[in-house]
Amino acid sequence: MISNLDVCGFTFRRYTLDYYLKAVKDLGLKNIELYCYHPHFSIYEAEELDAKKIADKIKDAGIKVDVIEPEQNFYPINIISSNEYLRNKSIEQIKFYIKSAPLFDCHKVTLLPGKNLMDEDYEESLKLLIKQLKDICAYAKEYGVDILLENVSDSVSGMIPNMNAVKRIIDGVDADNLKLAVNTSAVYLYGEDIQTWFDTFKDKISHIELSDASCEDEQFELGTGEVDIKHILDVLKKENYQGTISLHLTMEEYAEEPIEPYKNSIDYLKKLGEE
Amino acid sequence: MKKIPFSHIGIMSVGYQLYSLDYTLKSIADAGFKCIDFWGGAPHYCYYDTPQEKRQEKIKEIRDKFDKYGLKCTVFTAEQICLYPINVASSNEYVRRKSIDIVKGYIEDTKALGAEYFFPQMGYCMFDENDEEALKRSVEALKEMADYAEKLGVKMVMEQLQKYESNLCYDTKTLKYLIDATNSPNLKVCVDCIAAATGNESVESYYDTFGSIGHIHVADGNPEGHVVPGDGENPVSEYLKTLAMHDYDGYVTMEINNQRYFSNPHDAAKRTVEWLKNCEWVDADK
Repeated sequence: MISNLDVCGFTFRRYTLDYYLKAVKDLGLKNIELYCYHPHFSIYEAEELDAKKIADKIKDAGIKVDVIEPEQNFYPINIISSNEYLRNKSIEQIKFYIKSAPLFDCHKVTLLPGKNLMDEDYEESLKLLIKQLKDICAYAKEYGVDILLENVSDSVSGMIPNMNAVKRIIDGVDADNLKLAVNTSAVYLYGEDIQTWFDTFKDKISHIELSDASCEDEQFELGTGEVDIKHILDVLKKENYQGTISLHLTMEEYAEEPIEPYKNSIDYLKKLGEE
Repeated sequence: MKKIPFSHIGIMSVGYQLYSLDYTLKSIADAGFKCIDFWGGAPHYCYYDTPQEKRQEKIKEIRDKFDKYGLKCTVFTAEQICLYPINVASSNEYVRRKSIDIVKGYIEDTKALGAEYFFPQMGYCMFDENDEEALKRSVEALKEMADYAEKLGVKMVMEQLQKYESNLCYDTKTLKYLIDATNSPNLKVCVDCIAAATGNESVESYYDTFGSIGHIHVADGNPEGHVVPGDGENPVSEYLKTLAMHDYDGYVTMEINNQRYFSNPHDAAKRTVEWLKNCEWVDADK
């Protein structure tokens, strides 16, 4: 299990792509969750970004891109923004990354549910999100790409306060290439059990973003928070989970020394009996 | 010794990034603040969410809203390196040039917003890149931005950051280097109390180094966090005491910027006001 874990690119955003790829190999791993973030792979790098050049560099390094995740929390990318200009620019950007995914031999692109204004009507935002996801999924199908909806905590977006909100979205979009990237920190913060997510969504779960969390923060090194990581691993085994798993460690403070939280997390998994 | 007038203390609107601008301004005013340190990020306003031809109209709209809610804009803190891909020291020449142009637009916006200061950031380089070359690029960019600010009559304040935010400016020494190298009468020091605490420095050390302070970002933490005073362990009262002992007569920004408050920033703002009004170094009646 450990050798197939993805290393999340966000953690390495203050290092060059070369450093990131080498770090992945030094950790004994070979797969990545490629973040569309400066300086690794983002439309902000050039007037016209040469995605193939970046894809070839990653392949030449012997690294596999399991998932592409456009940055949608820190960056002003919001597929349900009430600002039409921003909304359209966001969709344009997302489509670029979807179209580029096959260059990386990657068929999974993670999307956040967008950021509704919390002082606006939730149901209207939900309608818009469902509409946007229908359009994006139809576009993604042309490129053989699955869209993975990521559940996030309310510090990122008010669109997914719990699992039922995800079910409403999945049912509303009703697209066979709309799957889920389950964020274990957010599941913990909802007060929910990942077993319930598997009971509800079954094979729709295509990716697990594994991280620890507490009531004060989230998405940090395994074994340093309150999430029952062993229980999550037991559920994955019980469900014979065949999808991908990333160590999704995105605390801002990790940016200066990003390798350490991964090393420690891998050691923690080994202590739990994983190989 | 001169207590800090409460009316000189504002809050940064970054904590309201999941709320509309109207909600934000009303909440800040209702909480009791008279000043706002206006954060330039989506959904409120930034380069990325406003077509250039609509910019002037948007800025006027924002300024009218400040007036409507009785808020003085002390600083325009446009989001640059912490969250957005605006890096004036980038080794990528396209990114660097675009970043400088975006920031110059923000300097124009500062004047139109009626803000006291613009908040430039020096950029950063990758930790595995040559930081000496990056420093040269940063100084060049800061000079270009400062020249432009001088032409427009816009004042600027610049802070040190935490090293994971900028590896070019993270303590008194590195901030002094950049301020001296830029050599502009329009660029003054801003102290970030959280960055100072994480770097084992104090507000006093900034007075020792610079003689005077143009602006200050205050928050609680452990020592990081940017949390509401009282929610952390930092000596927030001491920061304000130092200012009072130096007869500080500038503005103060409460930089309450922790995601735990993003779903309920109004509560964070109210509790911050309550703490300030009970702080012995704040004159709650002024």
